[in-house]
Amino acid sequence: MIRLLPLLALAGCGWSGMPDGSDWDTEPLWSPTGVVAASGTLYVPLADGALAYVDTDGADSIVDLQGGQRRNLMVLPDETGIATFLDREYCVPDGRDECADLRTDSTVALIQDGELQLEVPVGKHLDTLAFAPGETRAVAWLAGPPPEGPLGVVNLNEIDILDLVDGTRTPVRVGFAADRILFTEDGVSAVVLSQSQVAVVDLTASPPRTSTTFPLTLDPDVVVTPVGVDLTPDGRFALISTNSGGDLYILDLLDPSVNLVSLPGTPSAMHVEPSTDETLFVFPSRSELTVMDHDRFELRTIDLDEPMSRILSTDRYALLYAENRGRDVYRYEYATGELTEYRLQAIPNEMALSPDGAFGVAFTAPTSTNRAGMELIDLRGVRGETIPYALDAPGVGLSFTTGDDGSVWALVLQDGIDSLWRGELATGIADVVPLIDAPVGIGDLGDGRFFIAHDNAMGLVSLYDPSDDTFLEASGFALQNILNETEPLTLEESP
Amino acid sequence: MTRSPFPILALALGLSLTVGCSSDGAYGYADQADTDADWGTDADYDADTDQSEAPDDDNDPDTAPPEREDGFAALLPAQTDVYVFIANPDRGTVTRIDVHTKEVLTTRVGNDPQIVLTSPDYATAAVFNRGDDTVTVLDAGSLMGVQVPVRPHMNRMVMSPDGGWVLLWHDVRAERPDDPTPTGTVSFNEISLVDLTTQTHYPMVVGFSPSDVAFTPDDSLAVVVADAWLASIDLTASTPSPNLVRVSEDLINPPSAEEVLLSPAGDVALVRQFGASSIAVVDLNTEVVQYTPIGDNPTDLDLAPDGQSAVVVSRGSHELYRFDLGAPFDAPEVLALPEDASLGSVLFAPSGNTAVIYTTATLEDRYATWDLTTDQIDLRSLPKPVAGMAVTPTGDTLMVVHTREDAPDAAQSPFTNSWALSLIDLNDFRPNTLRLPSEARGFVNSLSGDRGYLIYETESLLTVLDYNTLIATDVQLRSNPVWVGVIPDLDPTDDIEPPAWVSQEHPLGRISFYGADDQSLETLTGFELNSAIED
Repeated sequence: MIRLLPLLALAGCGWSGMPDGSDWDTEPLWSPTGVVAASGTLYVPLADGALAYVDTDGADSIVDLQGGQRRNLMVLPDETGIATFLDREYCVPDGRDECADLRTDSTVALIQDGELQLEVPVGKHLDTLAFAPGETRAVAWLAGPPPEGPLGVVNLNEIDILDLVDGTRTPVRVGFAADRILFTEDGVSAVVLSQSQVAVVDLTASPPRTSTTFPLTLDPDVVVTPVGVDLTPDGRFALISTNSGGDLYILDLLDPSVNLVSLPGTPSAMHVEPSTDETLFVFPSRSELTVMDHDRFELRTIDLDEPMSRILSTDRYALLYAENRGRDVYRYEYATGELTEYRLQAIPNEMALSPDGAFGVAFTAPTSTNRAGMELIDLRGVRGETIPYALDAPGVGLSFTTGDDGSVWALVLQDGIDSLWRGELATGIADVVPLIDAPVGIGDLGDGRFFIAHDNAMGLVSLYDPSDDTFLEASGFALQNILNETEPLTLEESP
Repeated sequence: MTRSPFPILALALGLSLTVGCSSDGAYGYADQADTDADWGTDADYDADTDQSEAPDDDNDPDTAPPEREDGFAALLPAQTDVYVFIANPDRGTVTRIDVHTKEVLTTRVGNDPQIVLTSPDYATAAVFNRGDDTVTVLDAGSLMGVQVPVRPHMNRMVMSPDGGWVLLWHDVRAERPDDPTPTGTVSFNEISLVDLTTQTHYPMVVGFSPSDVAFTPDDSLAVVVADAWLASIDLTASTPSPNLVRVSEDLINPPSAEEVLLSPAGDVALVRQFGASSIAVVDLNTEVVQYTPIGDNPTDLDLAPDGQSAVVVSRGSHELYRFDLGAPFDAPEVLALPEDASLGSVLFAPSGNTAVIYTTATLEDRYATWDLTTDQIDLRSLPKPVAGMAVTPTGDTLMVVHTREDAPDAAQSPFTNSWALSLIDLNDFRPNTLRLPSEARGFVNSLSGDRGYLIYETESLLTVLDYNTLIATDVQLRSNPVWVGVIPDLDPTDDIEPPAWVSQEHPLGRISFYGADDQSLETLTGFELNSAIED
């Protein structure tokens, strides 16, 4: 496919229109919100399935995908690189035409230091990847709708088990619409949730196979869809909440059996707490926190003033809040069961905890002042002081950094505001760091620095080092791929 | 032998009544004489039955209906020392729950399994599959099963005391609305005898409409009573077959046989027939039958706890007849019952020193106590009429389940038109009457005899009865209960009370275990899903 490249568009945001109405593309040249960081480097998704790499010094380059087009970027568990799905088109000759037909093959590619390291074949309809502990195996499955275009006949009940050492793929049948995957801590088993059933896959078998399948219903007319899932700390039980009322399925993975516990309703959030070996549940329409032990699976109810929808966790307590709903926030101490209530000035859209768990930060909805806000909750004492801030625009990014003196700072991005708000949480001291352009996202580079993606058509990312308040910028990387065109490969060109 | 109006689960197996070793005596329950599954869900005990609306002459002891038998259990769980077995008729499976580890396994049996019985040695479970007329003989440990076809149209199954046999028959009183419609020729005279050791089926024909079965404790003999005929079956024969003895003088319109009782030696059978004025005493060796007069309308026949005598209550003539089973053909001793009460059932305390006499056939709010050492019989009052009675295993407490209906002309009370239960101290006759939230569905006693566990028809509650203090405590269940039982005590020296269990309504199966020692309740739900786990 030949695409016209209107150079005029390079000066603007995305492609601008062509007066002659010729075939043109309005796809942005890069995806600022799709940037991922690994070991101080960045991987930036570009248009047409290309991928840019920004190294620790801010130098950018195009990753050679060997004729492939990437889909979905995921950071490797050890954060040394990324994984992505790669699709390659091949020409299939028929004797008269060297490219009489096209065939697409897909792989999962591991990329480190901006270079493609390993590829493992994968079903071309699959779009999501999870890594087992030990990082020698991964599971690929279809989480979204099947991709458009011809796929051939694919089995929608199958997932792929990928061996990242020998580069082999094993399709395993687990049930329709595999949704979420958990791994046992030893990496031996994968627990795969799908529609109305749960499969346990033995990853160490040769080849990997489904060892146990748990039904979630015996009535074929009833579809049970898992909502929340987690494993108990000992890995023996899988806890699965479903859309079918308040039934919590407890699957014994050791002695395969099913037990159901009746929760007060379908939970809006659940959290397995290892320190006390219990699970917390909150509900969208019930003003209560339910705590379930993992011994007898008995429930204990703690009354709240408002229903909660989210649970944040530290190693000492959980913070409960109601996203887009209520202003109450609760701190629940695991060891003592003590509950402390806080009250925000506005309804939170999103909350986060500082790394030391001493503060909560909430982006809040506009109040009577008609301004979006941010609130800090001091969680160090029982008094629970909250500090509201009015923002110029809704918060779109939040990160934390710790100074040499141990002080914890919050870095806040506001939508369309080309500056970074930086505040020390303990003292409230704050300043504003000017940015080169309006930001759309912020993230942790993993080496003490942060990256800020900007709303810039040609590609602009800032690498911010809070220790010396310096910036590095990588820009224009989106243009590097603009003249490249991915052509179908010949079969001989297969990597 | 009177059965309870609700499923009393004498599930401390092995203690269940065997002929000659009465668990009536062992526990003093009205109903524990049955080791079979017939303490069931009230096919003929209707909570809505309004005795007050019965015809006028129903309060006449001569014309009142029989003492109310309990229903015939479907889905009665059975248990061994470590397992509870629950039939899942909709799935054609039986679920086995290890009460100690809570391990749940489900195995396929036949279609529509309805009755599960376990042998006293805990090694074998027998499952009657109503849908395909088979009995599945399961190894309790391995769950390996053998399917044995039986005669069609059966609806009751009992196991012999040693667990070597099951006997099935069609009891017209046990018919249920959901029974499969019989097709083809249908017999009402057939029984099926299954040797559980060899898994061999012996079909045979006995008299019309079999109604009760008794075995000797050593499994050497079974007797089946039907209208007009008593069939004795030598279980030691290489091919068991029935030997019929006529037990009615009237072969044209024989009275309906209701109960059969075997002497401890197994040489004499006593047969009680409804509305008759005599008891048929049968010498099984000589087949001599003697019709011993026992007044009007004998309504109960029971073995005394010592096994040495049998007692017949003749409700119509207000008399008790005591047969010496050492000389059963001798004339029985006759004791007069109070004339101003209708009493038709007898219940012995385990000690054998005391019995209570009562009726479930009429709205009588009185009962009598019988001191067997002096033969003194005293009439006592109750707050409401009786639906069922039981004496606790210690023999110290009498439990009375009352009807919802009140006695005629009863004064207004907190229990008027309510379900109620009385715990009565048998030493000083101090009562504690409890108003119940719903009709009692079943109860079981703890093995220590100190507690009882009561469940209800439409209430998600387990009520723990403390027989020492007469105080009741409610435990909330997650759904309505179906069956209640207690686990055998594997180590009586450890001072730990085995848990009680309650199976409950749930489309995927639910059972709870209640630990009296720490008052804990642990619930397993959804275990029917286990049958579909692919492992």
